[in-house]
Amino acid sequence: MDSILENFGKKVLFFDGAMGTILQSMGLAAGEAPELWNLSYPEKVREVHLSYLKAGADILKANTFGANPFKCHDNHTDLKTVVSSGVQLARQAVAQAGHGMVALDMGPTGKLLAPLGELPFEEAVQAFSQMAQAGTAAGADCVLIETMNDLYEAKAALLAVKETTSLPAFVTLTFDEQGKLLTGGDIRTAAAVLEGLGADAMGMNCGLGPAQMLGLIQELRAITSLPLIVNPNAGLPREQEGKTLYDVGPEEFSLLMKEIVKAGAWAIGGCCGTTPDHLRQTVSLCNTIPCQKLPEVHSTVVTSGSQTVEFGNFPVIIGERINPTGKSRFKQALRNNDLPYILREGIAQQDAGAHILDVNVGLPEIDEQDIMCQTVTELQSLSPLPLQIDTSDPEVMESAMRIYNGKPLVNSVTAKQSSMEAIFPLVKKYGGVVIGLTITEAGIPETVQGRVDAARHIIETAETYGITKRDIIIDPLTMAVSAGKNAALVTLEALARIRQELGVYTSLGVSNVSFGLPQRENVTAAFFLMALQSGLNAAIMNPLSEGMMRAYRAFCALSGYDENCMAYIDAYTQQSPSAPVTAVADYSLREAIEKGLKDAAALAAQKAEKNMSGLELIDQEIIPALDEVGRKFEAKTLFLPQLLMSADAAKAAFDVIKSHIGGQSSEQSKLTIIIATVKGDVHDIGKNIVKVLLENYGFHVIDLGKDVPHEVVVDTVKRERAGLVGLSALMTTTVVNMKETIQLLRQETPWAKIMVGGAVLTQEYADMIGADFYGADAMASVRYAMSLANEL
Amino acid sequence: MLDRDEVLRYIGAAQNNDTINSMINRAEDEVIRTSRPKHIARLVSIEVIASEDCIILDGTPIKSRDLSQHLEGCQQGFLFASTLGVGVDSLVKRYSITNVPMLPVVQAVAAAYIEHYTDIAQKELEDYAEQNKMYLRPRYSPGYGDFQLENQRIVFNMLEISKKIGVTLTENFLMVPFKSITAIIGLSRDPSLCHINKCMSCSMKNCPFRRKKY
Repeated sequence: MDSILENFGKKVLFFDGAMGTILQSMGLAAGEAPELWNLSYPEKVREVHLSYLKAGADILKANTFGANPFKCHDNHTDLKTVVSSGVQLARQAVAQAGHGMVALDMGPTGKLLAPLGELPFEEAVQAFSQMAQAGTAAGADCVLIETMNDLYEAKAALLAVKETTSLPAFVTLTFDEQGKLLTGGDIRTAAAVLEGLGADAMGMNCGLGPAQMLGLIQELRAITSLPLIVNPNAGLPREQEGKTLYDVGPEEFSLLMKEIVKAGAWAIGGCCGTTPDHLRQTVSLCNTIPCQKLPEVHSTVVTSGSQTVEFGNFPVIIGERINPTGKSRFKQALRNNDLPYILREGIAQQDAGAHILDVNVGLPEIDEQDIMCQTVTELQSLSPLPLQIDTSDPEVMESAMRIYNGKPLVNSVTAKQSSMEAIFPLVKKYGGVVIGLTITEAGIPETVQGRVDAARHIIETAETYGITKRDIIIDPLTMAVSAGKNAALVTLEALARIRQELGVYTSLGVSNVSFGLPQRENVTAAFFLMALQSGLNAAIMNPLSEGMMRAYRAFCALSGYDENCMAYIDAYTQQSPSAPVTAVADYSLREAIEKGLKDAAALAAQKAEKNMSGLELIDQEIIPALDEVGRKFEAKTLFLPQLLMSADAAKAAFDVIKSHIGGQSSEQSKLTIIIATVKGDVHDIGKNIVKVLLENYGFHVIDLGKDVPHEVVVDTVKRERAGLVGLSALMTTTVVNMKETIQLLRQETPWAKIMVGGAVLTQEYADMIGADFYGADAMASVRYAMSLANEL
Repeated sequence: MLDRDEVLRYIGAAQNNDTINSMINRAEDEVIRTSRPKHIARLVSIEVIASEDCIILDGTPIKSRDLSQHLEGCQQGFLFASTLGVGVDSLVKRYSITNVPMLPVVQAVAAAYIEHYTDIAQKELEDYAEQNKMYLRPRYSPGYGDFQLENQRIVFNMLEISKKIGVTLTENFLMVPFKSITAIIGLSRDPSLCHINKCMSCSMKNCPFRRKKY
């Protein structure tokens, strides 16, 4: 055979079956790395390969599955040697048998990627690159990335392979019976991401038997135009007397595999529990079945790491709020690297009904690349919504597309040559749906025809980069109607014609239409409805605007997008009030804080400020209220969640007062507090609670996060001349690191007091490691900080 | 469905009130909605070498005096792992940014839920024990007593935990997703040693709940 890709689709290709479970039957212990047998028992590995070739395998999976730097970290063995020997053993078997090809086999690292896990994306890419390099040099014919249960990690591996070698790259994932990956991604999402990244084939392996996979393969076949590879286990695993058993025998297996080929698979084989017998029977039954033609798929989809949004099914709302334009508070957040503020804007839009979140963090005086990557990384670990990466800088665009865990919406490209030259290669490499703005070298065309022509130019140029229409959405540009009476009509007509004549989906940033007019929402909402009626598929808009959402929900109900008007009814039926509640405005500031009512506290502070100065309010209302809550907490008549609610309410009141008296919110803020979960520890719930409580009691707190190295703590304390350091550790094993941090702080920053907390700590422990104070609970830390502040 | 008293205990609330109750209701909905609980178990042979404070698990030696005492009289046992999945980590992260008062409640509900799920998952092990006229010892996890956390690596490899249920280990042997449990569960013919409840044989006496496990 010449190359795998040339043979794909001409006849069914056969992968081999299991390696690990067969080596186990030859004496490999549970928990022992099968890859190390490449060096210790090469003849046995070769023997397994040969037995599969004899059974009719076309492609051998080299024994390199776990040979990555995280799993094979035996100091005595060089990773490259393990990979090379694995590929070479398969090559030797192929030479001996006179037929067959070799796939470099890459399994998961066993680490979860950051930020929920600890492995940074680029480190994962690097690890897979090392394997790909070694495997290519050793003579592999293709790379099979397999048993992936995290789509993000599969992306790292695929990117690494595409960047390291020109060998064909295949990805098979492990789904559960519901068609979900362990990290939550579904089949549609996986298909969109892998196809976008340029996998040469995709499919599934391990986890399930052929019976369970059949339905999933039928689903997958309908939504991707990639060739499919299916390597099931010999049934679902069953534990018996300490052995993992797989119950589907060779005959049953082969009959089911026949159905899988009929469902459209081009390459099949086996995973755990399958044997040469399974393969032999499968080959004889499936060998002559002709391969199905690949389907043409036309859907336009973007995804997060877990879910998909398809355009054309309903009008899509793209939340526009993560954007500094015209928002001073947002600009301030960007300058201060206040990521939580930015993330809250995202979550609020998600809760308000956005389907996609636009992310634009461009501001001249900040490092846009850095903050864009931070925002994307954090937001994608919090929200299941797909992101729209919005930047005018192609470098920022590339780094964001790279670390994104799904198939993004990309905002944007224009019909200008330079723009298309910069953006299309990125869309081709990383996969994505790109928004094309109808802007030409001469500017924005004033006529409908001009905009349609610009759109056509974008679509035709994209084709030359191998980007099809399904990955382009055209935005015919909303212009301010105050600047030209036909501005809105031109946009709407262009929209309708582009949709009809060019067959692409459309989007608009609708808010621009009302620029320069009073009560803008009136005009924007009306224009939005007109655009929807003209066939608009997606709107970049503010989902927190009630007027816009009213228009949207009513349109969906009237246009058949809202079955039985359920969404409309959900949104606008008054919840029956459970008990008469005191109106928010009726509470005094002190009451509002004691009851933990945030909105009431802010309102009460505004009202009270008319009669009292800010400092009086703090001394006579806020501090006494917090004291009272603290006392009740200590007396165990109210509890941590309520303490935190009161602190939140106090914070809301502080914010009102601060905006008037300019920063000097309370005397206590003289004390700067540095807070961190120590090196090696990733538990930060307790630390986060203490942080918020301290902040809400008026302290300036710098949070260094979790797993913080000693030096970072010391350097920050020095730089900020902090008076208090709070260290948290949850495990006995990490208290050791707490001790080391304290020792270093004592040497370098002798002025700083140190308080410690965490589940395993006690007063004795705290004394032993040399802390000044042991915080038994969150309130105790606040009391201690207050006592230090009073001494200042 | 979840044991309210236990949730309250995790929150550190001595009694109930409307505010806390409604917060628990909300957290329960969300934790259950975002969880994708999974577990895995495998029967292993156990040899206790009391004189050397050591046990041998399917041929792999593990040094721990507390564990060897805990498993005294067992020739077999189960390696066990369970998790709520990574969705709960994401939920906790979300609350730490948007609504901190909910944080201790979500944490408490998730802790109660993994215990609840694990107790149910353990039923199949109990059935096995019963059929074979044996008794299960309480779960004993790496990190308890002098059963070093480093032993997570052994448990993870033997059970193929990352591959099968998606739990991963950090460099310092902590688990992600964070609501996950690994344990050794001894099987013995002698019911008399089985009265110790859950982690009562653990030497982390300071642990406020004595059942809570990280």
